[in-house]
Amino acid sequence: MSKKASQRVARLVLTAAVCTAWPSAAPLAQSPTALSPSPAKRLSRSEHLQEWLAAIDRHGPGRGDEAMGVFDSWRSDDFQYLTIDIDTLFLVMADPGLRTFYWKQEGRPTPIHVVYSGPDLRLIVELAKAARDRSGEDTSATPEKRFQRNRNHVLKRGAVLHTDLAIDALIGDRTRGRGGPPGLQEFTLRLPDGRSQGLTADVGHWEFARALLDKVVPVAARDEFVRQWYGTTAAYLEAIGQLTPTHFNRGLKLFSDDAELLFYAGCLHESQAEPRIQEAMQSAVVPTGINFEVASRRTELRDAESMFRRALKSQPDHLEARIRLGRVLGLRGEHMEADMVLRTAVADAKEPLLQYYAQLFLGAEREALGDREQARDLYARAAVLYPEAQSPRLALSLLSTGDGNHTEAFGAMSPVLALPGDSRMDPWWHYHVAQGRHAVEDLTALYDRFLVEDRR
Amino acid sequence: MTRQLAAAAASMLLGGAMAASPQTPTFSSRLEAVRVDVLVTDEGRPVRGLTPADFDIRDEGMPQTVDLVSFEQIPLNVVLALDVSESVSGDRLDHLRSAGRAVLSRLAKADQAGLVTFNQAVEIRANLTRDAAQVLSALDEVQSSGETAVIDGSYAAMALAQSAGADVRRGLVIAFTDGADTISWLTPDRVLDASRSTDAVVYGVIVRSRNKASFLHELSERTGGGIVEIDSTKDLAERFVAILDEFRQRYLVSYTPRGVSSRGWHRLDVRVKGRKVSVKARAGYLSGS
Repeated sequence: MSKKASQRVARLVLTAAVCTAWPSAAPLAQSPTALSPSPAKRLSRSEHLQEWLAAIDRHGPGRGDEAMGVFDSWRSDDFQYLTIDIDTLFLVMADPGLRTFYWKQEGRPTPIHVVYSGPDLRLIVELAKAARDRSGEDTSATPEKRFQRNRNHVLKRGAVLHTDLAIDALIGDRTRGRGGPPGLQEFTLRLPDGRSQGLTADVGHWEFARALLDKVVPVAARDEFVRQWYGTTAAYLEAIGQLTPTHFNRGLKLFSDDAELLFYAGCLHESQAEPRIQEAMQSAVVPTGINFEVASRRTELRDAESMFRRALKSQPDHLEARIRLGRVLGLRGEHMEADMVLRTAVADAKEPLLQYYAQLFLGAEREALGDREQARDLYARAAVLYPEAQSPRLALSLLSTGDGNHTEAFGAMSPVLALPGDSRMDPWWHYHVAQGRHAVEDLTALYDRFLVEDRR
Repeated sequence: MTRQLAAAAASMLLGGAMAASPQTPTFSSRLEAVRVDVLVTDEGRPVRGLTPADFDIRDEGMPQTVDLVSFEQIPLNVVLALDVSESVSGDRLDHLRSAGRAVLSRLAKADQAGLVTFNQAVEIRANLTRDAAQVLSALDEVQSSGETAVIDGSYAAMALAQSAGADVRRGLVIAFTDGADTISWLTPDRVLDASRSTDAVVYGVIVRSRNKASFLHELSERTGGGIVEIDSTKDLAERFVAILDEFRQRYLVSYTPRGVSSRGWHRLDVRVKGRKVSVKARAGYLSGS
C-alpha cells in the first residue's frame, strides 16, 4: 500500500435491506410484461430466469465479466419476481408434473397463488429439466443427493454472482439493475466525515445472495460453503466500511457460535458505537420503514462486548477478539478487566499491527488506572512500531502536559506532527476496518475452493 | 502550567517583549505566582481601567491578594487550529483561509502565531513565530479532505501555544470546526483534564449543525475562552478578529496563593468588587502535578 493510499480513511456507509412489500397478490398471477408494459420489449419472467441461469454458469467468481453486464437491463422488481421463479424452478425440478404453485413470503400468513402463462410455464419446465440433468447419470450418488447437488449448484453459483454484483456496485459505484417499480432493495446511507449524506436505493444483491443461500439443502446452517461465505463477506463488508447489521444477524441466525462471524459482529457493534456513526445518525433523515439498526452508544458497546465474549468462548485463542474486547471494556468503564484482557493480548501479539493496537489500548487503561509510567512505556513502544503514527505521540504528549512539562509535551508530538499529514500512516485511522484486512485474499480463497467443489 | 511564573520567565517578560511597552507591568518574581486571564465586560463591552484592588479572587474559597493586573500589554501566542476535513471545502475553505489571514494581519510585532490543521492527521504547519508571512504561506497551502480529529487537533494547538515553556506570552487558541469529531485517538475527558494544566485559552468557532460539537464547548468553558456558533462561514474573518480583539482586552491577573494546598486542583472564583459586571475566567488550575 502506498503511503498516500494508506493515509486515506475508509468511508463508512450504513446499509439496510428492505424487501419492498408486494402491492397485492394479484400481480403475481400475471406476467410482469403484462403488468408493466414498456415501449422496449421486455423479457418475460421465465426468460429472465433463463437469462439468470445462463449468467450464473458463465460468471467467473471474483471477475467483473460480461455475465454481470446482463443485469444492466434488469429492473429492481425483476429480481423480486426472480426469487419466486427460482422457487418454482426447484419445485419443478423435484416434481416435473407440478403445475400449481404457491409462494410463501416471510411475514405473510397465507401463501400467494402464483399463476404462469403457458409459454412461461413451458420454459420453466425446460429449464428445470436442464438443471436436473446437469450432473448427468452420476450413478455414484442417490437421486436425492443428485437433486440436492444440482439445486445447491444453482443456489451457490447464484450467490457468488450476486456477491460479485454487490461488490461491483460498491467499488464501481454503479448499480446493475435499477429503475422500474420498487423491488428488492437495499438502502445505503453514506457517512463521510461524520455527516449523513443522502440515502440511495440499490438492488439488494446482498439480500438476494443471502436469500439464495438460505435455500441450500439439506440445511444451510450445516453447509461449510455458506458458513465461510458469511464469514468472508462479513470481513469484506467491514474492510470497505460497509456496516450491514442485517448481514450479521442473518449469518448468526445460521451459525450462532461461529467465532469469526461473532468477531466481525462485535466489530460492527464497536464501529456503530463510534461517535462518527452516532453523530451521523442523529442528523440523518431516514424515511419510515427503513431501519439501519444503529442503537445508542451504550447498547452498541454492550452488544460488542457480548459478541467478542461469545467469539472467545468459541475460540479462546482469538487474539483480535481479545484486543477489541479489552478496548470495549475500557470504553464501558471496566478498566480493571480491560487491563487484564489487554495484558494477555500484548504478551501474545506478534503481528506489528496487533501489537500496536494492544499497546495503545493497554496504555490507555494503565492511564485510566493511574499508572502513568507504564502507560508512557506502552505508548512509547507503540510509537516505535509505527514511528510516524500520531496517536501514541499525542498520548505521550498529553501525559507530559498533565505533569506540567509543556516543553516535553510539545517535544513528544512535534517531530511527527511536523510531517505532512498525507504522507503519514497511523493504524488507528484504520482501526474500524482493520479487522477485514485479509478479506480480499479470503474471498479469493473461498471462490477457489468453491470452484473445485462445484466442478466435482 | 498555570502556577509556574518562574524567575526566568519574569525576567524575560521584563527584559524582552514587554520592554517596549509604555506601561510595563512589573510581575512578582516569586515562583508560585498564578496567572489568570480574565475578561470583564459590562453589557458586552470590555471594562477598562481596573486595578489589582478591584479584583476579588478566591482560590479554593480563600480570598487572595492580587499582585498585579495588566491589560492589553502582554504579547500573545495565537494558534489557529483549523478543521480541514472533507466538509470544509469550496467557499468554506476560502473563508477559513481569509479568516486566518485577517487574524495574522492584526497581530502586534511581539505576538507570535502558529498554525495547526486537522483532518484525521493533525499537522503543525507553522510553529510559533513572529514571522506572520511564514504562517500565511502555510495557510495558503491548506487543502481539505478526510475525517475530523477535532479533539486531537485542539490538544495539539494547546500544546503548541504552550510550547515556548517559560515564555510569558498569553496563549490563545482559535479552533474552528464544522462538525463533530470522527476519528481522534485522544478522548474528550483526557484532553479536558489536561487543559487544567495549561494557561492557553481556547475559543471555539463552530458551524451550527445537528451534530453537537460538545467537546469544544466544554474546552472553551474550562479554559475561560468562549464559543462562537455560526450558521455560515461568510463572516468568519470578522468572527476570528472579534475573538482576537476580545482576547486582547482581557486582564492578566497575577497573585501568589496563600492559605491553600500546594498540590491538586484549585477552584477559582474571580469577581470585580462592587460592580455588576460579567467576569469570564478559567474555572481553576492544577498545581504541583
